[in-house]
Amino acid sequence: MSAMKTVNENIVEIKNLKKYYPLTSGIMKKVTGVVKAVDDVSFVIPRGKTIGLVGESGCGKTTISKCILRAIDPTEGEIYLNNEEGSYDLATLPENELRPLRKEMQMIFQDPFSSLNPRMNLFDIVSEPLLLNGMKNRTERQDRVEELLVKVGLRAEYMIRFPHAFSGGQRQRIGIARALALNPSLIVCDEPVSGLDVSVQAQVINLLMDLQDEFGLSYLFVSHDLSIVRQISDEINVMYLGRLVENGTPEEIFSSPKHPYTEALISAVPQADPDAVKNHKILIGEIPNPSNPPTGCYFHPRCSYATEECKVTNPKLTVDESGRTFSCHNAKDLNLTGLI
Amino acid sequence: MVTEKKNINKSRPLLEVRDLQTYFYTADGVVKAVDGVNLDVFPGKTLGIVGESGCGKSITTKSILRLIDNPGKILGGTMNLYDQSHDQSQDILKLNNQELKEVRGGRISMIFQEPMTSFSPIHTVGNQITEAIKLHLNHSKNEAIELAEDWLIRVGMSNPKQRLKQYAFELSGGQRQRAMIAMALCTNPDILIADEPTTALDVTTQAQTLDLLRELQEKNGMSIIMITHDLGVIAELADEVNVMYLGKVIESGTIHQVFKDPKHPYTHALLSSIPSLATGHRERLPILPGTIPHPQARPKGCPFNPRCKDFIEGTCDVEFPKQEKIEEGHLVNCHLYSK
Repeated sequence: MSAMKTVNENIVEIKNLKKYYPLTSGIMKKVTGVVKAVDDVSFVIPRGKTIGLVGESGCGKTTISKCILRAIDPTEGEIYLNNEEGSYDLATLPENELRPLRKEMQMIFQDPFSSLNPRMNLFDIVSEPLLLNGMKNRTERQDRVEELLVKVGLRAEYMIRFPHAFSGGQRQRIGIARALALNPSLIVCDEPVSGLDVSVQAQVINLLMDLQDEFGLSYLFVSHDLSIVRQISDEINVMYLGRLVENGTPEEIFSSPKHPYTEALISAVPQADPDAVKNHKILIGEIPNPSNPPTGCYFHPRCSYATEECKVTNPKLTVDESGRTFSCHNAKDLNLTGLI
Repeated sequence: MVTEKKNINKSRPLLEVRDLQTYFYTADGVVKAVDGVNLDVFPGKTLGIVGESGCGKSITTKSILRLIDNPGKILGGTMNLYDQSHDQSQDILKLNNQELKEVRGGRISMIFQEPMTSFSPIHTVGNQITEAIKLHLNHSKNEAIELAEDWLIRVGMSNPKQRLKQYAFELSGGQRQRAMIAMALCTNPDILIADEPTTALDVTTQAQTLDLLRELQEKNGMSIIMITHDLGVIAELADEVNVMYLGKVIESGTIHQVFKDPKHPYTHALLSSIPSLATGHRERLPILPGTIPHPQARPKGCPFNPRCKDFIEGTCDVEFPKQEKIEEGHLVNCHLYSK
């Protein structure tokens, strides 16, 4: 599969990714069922672009990010990482071959309070990846940490301080500096701003965009905050119960959603405008139990447009004539409303 | 069951807080968490309190219920709770323990951000809801169970009979928040304090919860004090808004006055730092520089002055600005508007 050619324009290609967790019961750990956390998901992350991944909690967003980083092993499917040397299937690569590739992929975590070791100072936190990757000279490391801290808007003299001395926004900057240490080409941002105050959110988002422009980074941006995803992403994937239900540019997704779930998700976002129409399409009920998903289209019990067909057959993710990708039987007959 | 509120004087505030001061006496010094806060809660209306973390919004509402623990202390101020049926008001700060018990959970109820930690893990949901009913309404056990079931139906829970017998950990996040709302409202309070009620929920569940609160408010005519840092949620629900910064209310007015025509530079910066429909793709939002100062290192004068773009040297860093009236109901504390 690994074609030796000029650098592929997609940094990551995910093909039919599946991650199943067995449910066991009793002392014999008999397998009684399976939770399909990620069920046959395919998408690509183009180089230098930002791909948004949205959906309710439990829809598999984080599982996908962890599979890409091989923090967990996928059950089935392929995840290709493309660089100058070629194309590697991260899903099956043994750990010793994976190791040199790991520095190309980094992660920024949601909670800046639990993702930084309280007993390490900033120098230790940011320089640990450098040390692990062979930068033995302390002065060299110090210079690099200094450079990184300044890059993310912190002062170099903070190096000797410990995380508790910093606010949430500053801690998130430290996390970003750590992720940047090894010059990665892909950064997985898992809800990077949801724990922050609104004014600080804007600071961090702006920083992420500036760094992307400067270093040509590619982002997988996982979030449940649709307005931020809309602002930062070049393309958005909407997930429901482990499956991809719609893909499109922010413009397409927000102005003319094709999947009823996307429509509901957009309509649920509160607008900071007292004159905005408060006409929510309230979704009935909650996300179903993933170990016992509904038949047919997973979304049909909560969908106000569901027909008999939806209860029986699962719609495939297809591309229509206008180039939009979604999985809905009735999309043609529906005129779903977006925000504008 | 729920008696409709009748003949209420809409213009008289149900709760009038004046010059509330709650300080924390820590080993490192005094933290003025709430420093001279005024607020009015009108019958059947929603008052939103917004601000970044650490601005004192939660401490304000905890002070209203006198839930401040050591080393915190409510130093001064008045909190007049008006009783419409008897046409008299009482100062919550002067109540004795018995009277306070009747106010807490009786006339003023509270719902919290994290419903998991605010429910007892070793009592069933039914147990906890009926406890409030028995305490405040003098109902018998059976009546209380009936009323609890009735409230679970009202907040849109499926299988209410079964839910009463379940524990909090058996419910999903949205269901827990519904149960919490049922528990808070079953005593038919005049005021519901909602402290970040939807922050831990998904957008879809958040929309359900906000809708539910709005619907219940229309039916019962209760007032809501809504605390959140999510300006979208405030715009959805609130009639009036108080913007807080470092323990002080710096701007207040109707939702339209504050959101459409913000006067204080802080309010302005806060509103423009969130992405809206008009935000272009990859557009950089104007940011509010810096962070909230450490509470012990409160800047002199106006607490916002080090981050303010309209900072006037010699004025803003000297004196806290007096309250200025922009128009009826719209108040702001900023030297830019000093006459």
